[in-house]
Amino acid sequence: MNKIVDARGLSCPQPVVLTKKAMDEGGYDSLITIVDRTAALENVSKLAEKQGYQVAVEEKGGEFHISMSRDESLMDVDISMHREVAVLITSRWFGQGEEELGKVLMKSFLYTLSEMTGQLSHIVFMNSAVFLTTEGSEVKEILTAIAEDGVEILSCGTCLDFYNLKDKLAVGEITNMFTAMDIIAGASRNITI
Amino acid sequence: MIKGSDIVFDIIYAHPQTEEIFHSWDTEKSCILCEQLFEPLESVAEQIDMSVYEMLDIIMEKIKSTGYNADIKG
Repeated sequence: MNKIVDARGLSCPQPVVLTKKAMDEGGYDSLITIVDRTAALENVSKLAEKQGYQVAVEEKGGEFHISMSRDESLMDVDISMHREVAVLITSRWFGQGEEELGKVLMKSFLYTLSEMTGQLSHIVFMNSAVFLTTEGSEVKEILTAIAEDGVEILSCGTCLDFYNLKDKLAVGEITNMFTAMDIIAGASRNITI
Repeated sequence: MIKGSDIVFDIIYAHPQTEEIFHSWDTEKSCILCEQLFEPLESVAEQIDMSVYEMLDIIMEKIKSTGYNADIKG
């Protein structure tokens, strides 16, 4: 069965949005999107290629009929990256010096980590760094996003106890020194701050 | 959370309410949602000479103020 998306008269990104919705819904053998603008033609084709479709375009009186069908050979490509970097954070502020600067740098460091989650396996929080994973942390949102990308966020249980934070853990799990060191030592690369 | 490495299309597909923001950053000669739809946000920021952090703040503010579950426009 063919599914047809009529996106004539629509400007970008609508033809692409409608095509993606049709792709997500599925239930067809071949998908055809009709557009009448070259930008839409280029963008729908780009979307299809990114989604693993084979694309064929036919021009009919100023309109472009973009036929898309699944290229099964591209379906099972494993695009997952090998996760090999473990990070050990030992303080709630980055580096030594002014507290205010340390806070800004820590936020920036974690934000940067969030951009490379494909390579990260674990982030381990020790000593006062556990303030970053608990309620009231200014970086909770960033850490939550990192965790959602599959990175394990681990906080030292002894440290949480020491700071009376054990019932306030907001992101990740509790760990111990043995497990933490096993993770850091076992990683192909590690970063300690 | 939206990141600088996120692709423009992925952002507007998940959060269609952000479309108008991208239109507001268009210039007379360029249309972000036509020409840079599959580029990462940080690349768009560089091309329009804007800080990616400022862009992220504006986008996140829009998403927070309009809710995360807005319907995708048909």
